[in-house]
Amino acid sequence: MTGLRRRKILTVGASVAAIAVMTGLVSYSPTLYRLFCSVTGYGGTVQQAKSVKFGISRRTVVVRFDTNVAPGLDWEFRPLQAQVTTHLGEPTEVYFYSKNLADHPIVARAIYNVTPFKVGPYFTKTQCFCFTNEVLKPGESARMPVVFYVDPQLAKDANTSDVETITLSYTFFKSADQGPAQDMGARVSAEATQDKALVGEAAKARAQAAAHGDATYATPPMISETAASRGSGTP
Amino acid sequence: MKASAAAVVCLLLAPPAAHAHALVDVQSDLSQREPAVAFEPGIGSPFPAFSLQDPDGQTIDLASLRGKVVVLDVVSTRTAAGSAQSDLMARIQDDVAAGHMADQVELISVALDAEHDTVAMRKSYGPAHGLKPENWVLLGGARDDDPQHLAVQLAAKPVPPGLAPPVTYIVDSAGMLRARFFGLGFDPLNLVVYVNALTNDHHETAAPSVSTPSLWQAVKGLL
Repeated sequence: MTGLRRRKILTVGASVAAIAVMTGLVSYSPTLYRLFCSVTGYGGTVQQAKSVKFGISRRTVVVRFDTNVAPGLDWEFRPLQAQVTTHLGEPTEVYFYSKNLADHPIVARAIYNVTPFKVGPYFTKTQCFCFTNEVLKPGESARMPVVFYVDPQLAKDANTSDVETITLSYTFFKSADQGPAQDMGARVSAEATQDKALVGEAAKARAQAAAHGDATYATPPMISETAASRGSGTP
Repeated sequence: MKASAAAVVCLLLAPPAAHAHALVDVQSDLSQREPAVAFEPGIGSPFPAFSLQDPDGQTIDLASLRGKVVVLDVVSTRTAAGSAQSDLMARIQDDVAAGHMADQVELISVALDAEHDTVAMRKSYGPAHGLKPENWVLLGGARDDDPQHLAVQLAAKPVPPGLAPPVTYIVDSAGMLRARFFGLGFDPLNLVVYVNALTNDHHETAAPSVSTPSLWQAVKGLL
């Protein structure tokens, strides 16, 4: 009798526990599914943990710089570094130099290209001098910052994972409207301050990680200038 | 470690300020700078489908231009206005080439006057206006009324107040009409800047294709 009663209690207990577990699973299924997706990346869910850990990826790419001046614009325009080696996801600041060679103020506008073209979706500039009218007074020069990063997704896309070198190319055109425009020197200084924090934090992260022996961030110098560079040396 | 996290947080917070001088900014800037331009609302409307022929008899249709930004006008080649239009197109072509966009941008003129625009005339028309065949072509129709059919479809689109033809159409790489530049008085550089912004705009026309692991791969990865 005692044994039968115990078995009954066990059966009821097991049934209640099974129902509780199933009810729990049903109740929390959306949460559990999201958890599953976040762990596996299934269904295109961004892998949160991985993003944080590899916000700045171990993988590097070389970004080269190319500059052009359209006919009719009497400006000197060149990159201040021929290329940089940057980690995917790392905000990187580079500089370009322009100088008005004419004896009168000139307003100009720049456009840009990123090649290979397939890399475009993964190349993001957070600061640049393109598309807006810029003016340089006679003989005036400006050092213009560009801040960019390359999305780590580049390495995961089968179409772009093989890319090791990217070229960022700028072309300056003389504007038809030679009226008042923003002074380039003043504007680029103000914008540079906004992005300094972003680049500074990234550099600090790398330096600290390197000091602690984290190979993930132990990298070659951020800006590598070559002797053949048009932009090597000071302006 | 804190610095790493801060850098990542900065990067994650960056998107609102990211994509410096994105297409929307260029559009806003040009709206003030260039009174001759009319932008299509939203991401635009589909450009009318067409199928025309180049002087060599090759068929060029809208679908074959996918992946490129298209600058298109309809010209009456025997008129002074048409000639001025083509001179403007030549300036645009020069700027597109100077900006290293020749591989990404196709320039198309549609010859309206079938009787006058013979194959021989269309072959000689470009060089006479400094237009180079690398990324420009003068299209005619296999049937006489093909170009007119396209012109009628385009003309059905309302002209904004204060603006008048001729019209230069900007079509994005997905075949959507994005902007119309009216008249001959606009600054070609404004058009080229807009085209450049379009070629660099990957957010609406070409989402990155990151491969998603299959369910089996995902489960296997967990184990």
